[in-house]
Amino acid sequence: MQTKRMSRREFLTLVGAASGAALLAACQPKVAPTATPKPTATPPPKPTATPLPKPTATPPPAAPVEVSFGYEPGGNIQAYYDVLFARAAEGLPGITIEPVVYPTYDDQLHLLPTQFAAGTAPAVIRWDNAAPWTQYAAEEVILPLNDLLKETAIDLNAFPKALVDGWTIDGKLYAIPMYLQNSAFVYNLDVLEEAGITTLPTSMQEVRQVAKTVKEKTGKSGLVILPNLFHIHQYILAFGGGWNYGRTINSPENVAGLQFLVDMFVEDETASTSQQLGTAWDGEAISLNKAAMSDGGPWYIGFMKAVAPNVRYSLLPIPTNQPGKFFVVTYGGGYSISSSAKDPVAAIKLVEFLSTEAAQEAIITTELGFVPAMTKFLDDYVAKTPEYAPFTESVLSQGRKLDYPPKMAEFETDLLAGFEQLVFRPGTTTVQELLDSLQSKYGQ
Amino acid sequence: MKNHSRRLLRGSARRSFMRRALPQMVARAGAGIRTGLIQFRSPRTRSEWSAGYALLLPALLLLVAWFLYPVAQLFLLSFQTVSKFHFSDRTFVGFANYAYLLKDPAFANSLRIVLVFVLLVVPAQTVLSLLLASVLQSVGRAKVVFRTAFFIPYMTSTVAVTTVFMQLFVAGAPAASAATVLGLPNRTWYADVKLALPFLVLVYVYMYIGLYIVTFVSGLQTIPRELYEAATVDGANAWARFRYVTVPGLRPFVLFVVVAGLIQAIQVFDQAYVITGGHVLGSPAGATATLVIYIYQQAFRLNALGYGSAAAVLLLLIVFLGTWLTRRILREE
Amino acid sequence: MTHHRLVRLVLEVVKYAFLTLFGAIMLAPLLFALYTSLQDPADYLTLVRPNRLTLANYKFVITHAPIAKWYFNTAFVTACTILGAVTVNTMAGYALSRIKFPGRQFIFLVVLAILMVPFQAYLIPLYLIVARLGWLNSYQALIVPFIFNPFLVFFMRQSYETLPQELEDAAAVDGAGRITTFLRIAVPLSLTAITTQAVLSGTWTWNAFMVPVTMTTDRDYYVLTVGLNSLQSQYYTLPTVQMAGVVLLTIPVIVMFVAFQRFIVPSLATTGLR
Repeated sequence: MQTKRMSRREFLTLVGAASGAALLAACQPKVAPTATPKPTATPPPKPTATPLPKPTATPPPAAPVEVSFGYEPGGNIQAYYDVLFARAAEGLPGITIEPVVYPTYDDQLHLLPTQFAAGTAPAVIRWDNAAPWTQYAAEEVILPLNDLLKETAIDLNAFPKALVDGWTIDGKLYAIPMYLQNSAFVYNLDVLEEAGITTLPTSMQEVRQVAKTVKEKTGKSGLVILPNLFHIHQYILAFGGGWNYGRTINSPENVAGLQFLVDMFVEDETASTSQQLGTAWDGEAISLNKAAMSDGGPWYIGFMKAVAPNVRYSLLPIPTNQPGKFFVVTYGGGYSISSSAKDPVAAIKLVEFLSTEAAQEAIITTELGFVPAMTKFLDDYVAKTPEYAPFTESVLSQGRKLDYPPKMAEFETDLLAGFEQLVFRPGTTTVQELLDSLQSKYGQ
Repeated sequence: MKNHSRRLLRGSARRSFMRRALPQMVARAGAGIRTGLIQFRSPRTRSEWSAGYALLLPALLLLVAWFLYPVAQLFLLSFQTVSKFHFSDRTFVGFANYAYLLKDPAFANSLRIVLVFVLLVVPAQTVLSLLLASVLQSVGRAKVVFRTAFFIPYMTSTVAVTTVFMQLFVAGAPAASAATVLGLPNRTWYADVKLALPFLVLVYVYMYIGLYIVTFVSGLQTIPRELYEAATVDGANAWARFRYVTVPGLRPFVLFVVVAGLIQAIQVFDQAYVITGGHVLGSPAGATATLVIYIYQQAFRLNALGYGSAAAVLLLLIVFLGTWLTRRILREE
Repeated sequence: MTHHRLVRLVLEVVKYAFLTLFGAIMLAPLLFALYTSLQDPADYLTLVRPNRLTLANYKFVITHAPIAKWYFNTAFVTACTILGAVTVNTMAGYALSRIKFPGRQFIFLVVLAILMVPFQAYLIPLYLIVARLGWLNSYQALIVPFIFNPFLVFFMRQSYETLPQELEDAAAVDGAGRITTFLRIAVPLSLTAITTQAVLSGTWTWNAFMVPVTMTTDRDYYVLTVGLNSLQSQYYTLPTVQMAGVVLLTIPVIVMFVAFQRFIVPSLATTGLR
């Protein structure tokens, strides 16, 4: 076409075409949040069901009530719940379960706030207390269960005190424990051997030394970390710190712990994020022999067995800045009830059904990869899983808690942004500055 | 004329008809209407209107329900603070959200990132696609095969393409290793502060260039061959022909590619999100924090719906401004 | 002159080489995905002989996920969206182009303005509407919001702008009503554009992720993008499995495009420009 002066129509055309192309972009498939693989276990052989004992609670109302139950089906979780749901007709009379299945755990966490706002959150929610449940409790979108418990026969003494305390704020219990979870330190023995290291470190200072040796001798990363609140938290705790629900965000111990981590990145250049190593999470880096050490947990057991059975590794309590002293964080998964549940009593009945001894035992038989919350099943689990031996009852009972500040999601976002500034743009800020600003924003 | 126009043309005959004879026909129709030879509008105006509204009605209903209503909410939200968990819990704060944005260093960073991104992407994809289209145009029947190959990335899922690119650019992987030839460090591109944005640019241009190549190819087809022949007769060589015939003839297409490219590039989100795995948005250290990433983070991670909405409104204004400016600049040239 | 012909030959070779190089670059990532998806996880990122290639990753995806259901859901949603979109947007485009009624320009401007708002910004209000309608976990939620599409409306409008008016004027003179004119003349003439609409709308819907992942928490309603992504978290982001998912998602779209490309490409380019 010959060039002519731009008429009004042509202008609209151009603007429209341009905007149209914008929509082309907008209509392009949106993003898939690639989630950290949720700590889960191997694809299992068929589970053997154990017979269901009769429920000991008072019989529920006559008309069938529908209770929605939200969870994510990573690993064997779907198989586990299939077993339980099959028993529901007998064990949970008068109540039908409506499963709400989130594609991934990250999707669950991302979707829940919007669901709470819209009132569409499931009545019963399964999650672990690394989720922002304290925030939800503060906003009163999940219910305290102390009163509801009276309608059931759940005995909290069957669970370790640390677990129950982990779900309690100011005496109010917000979830019934389902499984035990703890943090640990992972050592890739193959990579360490390649660097000529034969004894494992007994303190964080030694960890730093080992990392340097690994980097020198093999060129591989001494330490790998997936940058999220949980993992950074381990290093804070290793130096004797803790968030204490927002009261001690910028304590000297926290500063020391975070500084240690940053130094390994910036000064020593022996640490990497999982992203830098081209992997989705720390476990993948360890399994591919790209790093020697990482913080992790029992979720490594099933993963390593499935993906890298020939890689030798060790799972042990986490070293601290005091030689010879170690720690773990003891936390776990549990069932909460949302305040938009139409029938809280039916909901707690469902929780009770999901928390019977048989359900707990099924955790082991379906090889869920979790440690059952009830103390009596811990020995069974250890018997089946020798890699878990270092985590004895005494170790776990002395475990630290996850004491995140109330506005956990926002706190995590800001902390991580600051952490990346410290690590990737050294000199723009200091650890003290970052923690001070977080204290003033999220402290209490 | 009447008989001629009643016959429905097919395929390439119709396409060439539309391209060549169209302007003349439109002009003639216009003349016909003016001289009253074709009477058609006045007696039917009212039934015209109702027909128009009837045809438009389903679209309008859907537009209002699914677009206008949420967008209106968006404008409203930009003047409020909202509790993330109790949507009815809102307070009107006037322009406070906008004031916050203008002071937020993260917002300024996002603006800067987007500006750099656009300045890298738009010229690159315009020039590259023009170049490829020119070469493609001068090839014969093989054109179709190449055109398909160039267009396929555009039809593929953004997530899929970004994921594949990530695999290729890990330290030690094929693409990252190949890049060391250019003197670049052998690192994971998308996790490096300096290389993350170039990585984003690469993925993005790769995905969208097919669309613009096709645009230019068709644009080249509209330039009458006689102009080229006349230029050759006047003694112009290939470069002169390109400069004095092709480029002016392609002006409306170049404008389209630039403006469309600009609007799309300002709104980049998917690729930046996939790079971070959904963890630390804008990773590493804000190097990929585009404007829409900022909006998303405010709304979905920091539970600050008010800030996110205000940022979206500002984005809208920026897009308008950018479009107007570009049109202005390119028109004057 | 022989010299002249030699130069021309060299030029041709250079041109083809350049195009082939670029074509290869454009296709390389997808070929990489295809190749990786056929590899044993232990062989990841290495070049192996063809006898070590395996379909194990595909078997894994198929046995560990209800992929048939996902394919069905995606196909169903895509088909319905295409049908709806083609109908609604064609009518709207025609009305905005041909029929001079009051408010026409204004409506068109509103349509265009909508395009400039990134939809991540109003995803939450959208979710609330869907929730209030009780459409969570339903096919409607994945179809209805996508039927009306500003770009396609604009696209059809431009297509109709390029149609010669006399054909319709002739029909008018013969006494045909507007709607008859639309159905009998405009639609058949714009079949190319309509097909393009179908292909574009189909591709966008097929590849859509953000909205389905927000609106569906029921496994029975997962579409391919959501389902394949959930596979990552469940089963350890094995890159080979991930790539198998990419291939499973992409092949149908490419097939559809190759089949229809005769219609789309010319139409896309020319009608946008009038």
